[in-house]
Amino acid sequence: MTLKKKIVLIGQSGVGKTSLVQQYVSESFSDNYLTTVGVSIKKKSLILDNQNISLIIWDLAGDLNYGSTYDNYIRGASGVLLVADGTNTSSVEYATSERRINHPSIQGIPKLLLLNKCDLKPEWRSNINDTSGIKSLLTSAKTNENVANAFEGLCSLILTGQKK
Amino acid sequence: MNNDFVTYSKKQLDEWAQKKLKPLFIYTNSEKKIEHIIGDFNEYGFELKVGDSISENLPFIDALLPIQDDELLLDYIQTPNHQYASIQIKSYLNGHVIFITNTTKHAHEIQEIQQNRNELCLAMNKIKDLLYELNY
Ligand SMILES: Nc1nc2c(ncn2[C@@H]2O[C@H](COP(=O)(O)OP(=O)(O)OP(=O)(O)O)[C@@H](O)[C@H]2O)c(=O)[nH]1
Ligand SMILES: [Mg+2]
Repeated sequence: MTLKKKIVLIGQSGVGKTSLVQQYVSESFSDNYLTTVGVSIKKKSLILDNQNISLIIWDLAGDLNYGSTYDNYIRGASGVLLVADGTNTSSVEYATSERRINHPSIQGIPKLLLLNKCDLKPEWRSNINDTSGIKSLLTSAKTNENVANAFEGLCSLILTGQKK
Repeated sequence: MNNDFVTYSKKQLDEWAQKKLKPLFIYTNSEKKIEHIIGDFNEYGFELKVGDSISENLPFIDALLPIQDDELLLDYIQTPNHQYASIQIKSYLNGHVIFITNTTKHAHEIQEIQQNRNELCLAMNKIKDLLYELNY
């Protein structure tokens, strides 16, 4: 049996949500920035712990302040990737803010914090201060570092949560 | 299918068609097979006929089914041919009624504004961080 799981990517505009999905699903990367409007939904099949999983990936626009509510998009998710850009401190605050992490629609479900653009490490600010306590991972959509680990790590957390 | 429902749907589709929203109406049964389809689906980059399975032909909609509440409304969702659609799904009998309208024009307007603002924002953040570095 195939398990269908919805996951959502949340984070400020420009942090690399779409790039991470594109790298994971299509193994490609572009330096051009084209902002996402609304939501883009991609599907990826994988096998984890002998379990067939159909991962439904919801890549949300960084700014969702028009049209149907944010709530409508994130409802029913089994896991969340909170994405921040390591070269941009405010994006870390954004991703780990109380109102995002503890939003009623995603409360208590597995979450991973991705500090993306780790290929730009020399540029990383020394003042990144994440006190959210959420498990984090350094990723690069550009070099493909930890990209599969991010998605599959979240899946593992989802499966583990289910067995309990 | 209930006649009132069909009449209402046709009326709705006509209105949307007049607004050039290229409306599409699909009714899928409990097995996610299409039982009714009205509208111009070529607009959205897919071909469909009665009996087709949503799972095989429309993965981006299959991803939304079954819906969790009675109704799901998404305003801007990218379709396979890079158009934008507004999608409204309602549970009906054991299946789903799906209304799709084309919101590409509006989405592109939003995209242009959003893109400008976000690029500016990225640049501002960079400047802020560089200033921080200078001071410490
Ligand atoms: N160097 C580097 N650049 C990246 C990385 N990931 C994304 N980018 C670049 O950052 C910019 C924004 O990437 P997107 O993936 O579009 O960002 P997003 O989070 O989807 O943005 P919105 O859709 O506006 O919310 C693009 O120019 C990408 O090429 C990365 O890991 N390393
Ligand atoms: Mg995006």
